[in-house]
Amino acid sequence: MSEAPDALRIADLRLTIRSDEGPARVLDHVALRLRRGHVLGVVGESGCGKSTLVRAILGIMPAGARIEAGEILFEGTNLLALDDAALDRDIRGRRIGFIPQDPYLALNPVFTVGAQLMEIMRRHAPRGGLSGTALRHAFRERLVSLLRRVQLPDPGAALERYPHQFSGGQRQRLLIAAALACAPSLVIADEPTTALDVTTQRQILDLLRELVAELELSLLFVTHDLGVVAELCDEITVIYAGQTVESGPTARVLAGPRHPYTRALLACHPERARAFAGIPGSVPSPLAPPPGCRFAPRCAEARPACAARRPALVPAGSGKDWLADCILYGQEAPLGTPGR
Amino acid sequence: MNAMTHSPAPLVEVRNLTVLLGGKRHLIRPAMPAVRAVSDVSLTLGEGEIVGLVGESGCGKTTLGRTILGLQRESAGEIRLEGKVVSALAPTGARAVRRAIHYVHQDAAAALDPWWSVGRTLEEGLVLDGVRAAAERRDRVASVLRAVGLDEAAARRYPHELSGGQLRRIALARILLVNPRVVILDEPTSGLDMSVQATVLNLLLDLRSRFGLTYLFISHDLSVVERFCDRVAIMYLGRIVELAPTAELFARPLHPYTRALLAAAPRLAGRRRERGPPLPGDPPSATRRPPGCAFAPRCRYAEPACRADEPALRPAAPGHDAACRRIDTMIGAEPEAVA
Repeated sequence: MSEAPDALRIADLRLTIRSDEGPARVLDHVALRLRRGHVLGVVGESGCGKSTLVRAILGIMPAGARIEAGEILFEGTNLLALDDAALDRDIRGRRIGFIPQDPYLALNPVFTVGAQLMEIMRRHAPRGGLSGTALRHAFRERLVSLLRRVQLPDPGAALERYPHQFSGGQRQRLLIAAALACAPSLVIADEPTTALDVTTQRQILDLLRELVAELELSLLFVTHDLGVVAELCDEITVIYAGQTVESGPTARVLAGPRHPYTRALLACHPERARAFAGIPGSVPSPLAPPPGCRFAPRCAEARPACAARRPALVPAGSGKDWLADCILYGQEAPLGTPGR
Repeated sequence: MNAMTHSPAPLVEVRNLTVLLGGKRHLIRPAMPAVRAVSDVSLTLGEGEIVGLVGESGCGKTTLGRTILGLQRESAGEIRLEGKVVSALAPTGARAVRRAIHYVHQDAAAALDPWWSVGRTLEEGLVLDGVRAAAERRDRVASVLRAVGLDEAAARRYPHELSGGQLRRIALARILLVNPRVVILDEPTSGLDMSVQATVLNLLLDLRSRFGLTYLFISHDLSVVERFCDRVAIMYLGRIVELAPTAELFARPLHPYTRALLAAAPRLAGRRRERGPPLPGDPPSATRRPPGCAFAPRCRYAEPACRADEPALRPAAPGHDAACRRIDTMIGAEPEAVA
């Protein structure tokens, strides 16, 4: 028997969103691979398509969005082949948990935390043959133990309280508990610590690390913060203007980035920057992206052939898992994308 | 870096500043007890210096900035500008004598009127400043736009047409128009992408040298502060707990809170091996200020005396002040918190 399929594999994902000014090509050849039990950091600057990618995986795309090509394999199942009812019944909230960015917006202020968490359980959790009061008690017990696990003080009483009675860090703990409520195997976190202070951020990152190891979770961690990736993630995938430009083991990519965009981005980091230079130019509009490599117009290494290049991740460093989509490392894809 | 010669008399001098917020009687609501948002803060800004003010949300750094600016009246203490006392005044009077001090709002988009073109917003500052001739106003707007690296045509654009980085430039242009000497920058790079952040920081350095500016740089981003500031003040719950030249502070943090803060900041260099356990709990609210040293409930070095009275900020090493009762222990203890 072949080894278990990856937690998540995305290959050649292309997505457009209809707009008044024509189709916006928001994702163009996105590829990534998250191994079971690993933490993958998906990194990019605003507007690169990170959040759209997350919504595509969860099947909650904005109106007018259309997937043109590609596949999203969750433990071997192509999510794009499932209809919304099936996604809702078996995948979202059940086998894939989601931790949103803003703990202040994600909870409804007029319901108790317990009511909101119970709602998730009612919709998605396996019932184990129970019903009525017995089921409610079982759910409640599971929630209390989850809240204890995410180190929320006084978990029993917490269920009776309202979101405003918790601090930002505590709310993020509540949302982590919500994501874990139905014992998912994959958790997707969209910038979960951006709104938090640095000492609280560290508590939450430490907690996520522990949970990944303890519950054998796979974690897709979307962020713009390379420092957070360095501390939390086993692998990194860098996205620029809707294209995966580089992916590989975090420590090696951060130590010696291969793609010119990854290099430029790291050179802007205050820990690395010799002078505060930035990257010349700005991110192209998805309405009229440059042909070929989308970074070429800002790239110091660009040559005419870059505009004709078909997006393809090719081996760019030591080991077959270190890939970059750049003409510097070859014209075509001998091994294809990480999804192949 | 960027160390400039410190003039003998600091440009701005803040002495024992305390700011109480709230506590007023209301017609129908019961009076809320006053909150000490800033507590006994002393700080100087030398000519041309960049002083970083670092702390987590709610620590009072923005209130301190607003009080130095003059929008918030101090409850006790003194503020001097070029040696002259400019405190103990109502906001209008305070602004009149502190016209050399200006403030760049944290949210550049929120600080602009969405219905006004950028040029009109910029000109308004000059109108208020008494510049009557429209042609002169237009010329000066065009010249500050060029100074912040934008095209003059940006004057005809509206805020929603501009990117985050461009809006920061507009915010800086608006300040430059009124000839500031001291600029309070409130989180000037928060919410910006790293590649844009670098260009904004570069512009700030450029403007400082061209216009002879002095910055109070309010931020929670330690990696930026480390690269950008000459001196750093760390705030916790309204008080400065540590103040030192940047290189000294990052190399030898003394206050337990500073150590925890540095240890918590994610770094490209990766996880630190020995950085101690994470700080327990959440920062307490200024409305429920713990007695004694406000940090004591979360501090692993705290002893009973720490909860009794508040330690003062005092010199712990040359040019290096800290407010901690156990400072001698801390000097001896390995800064296990930092790599």
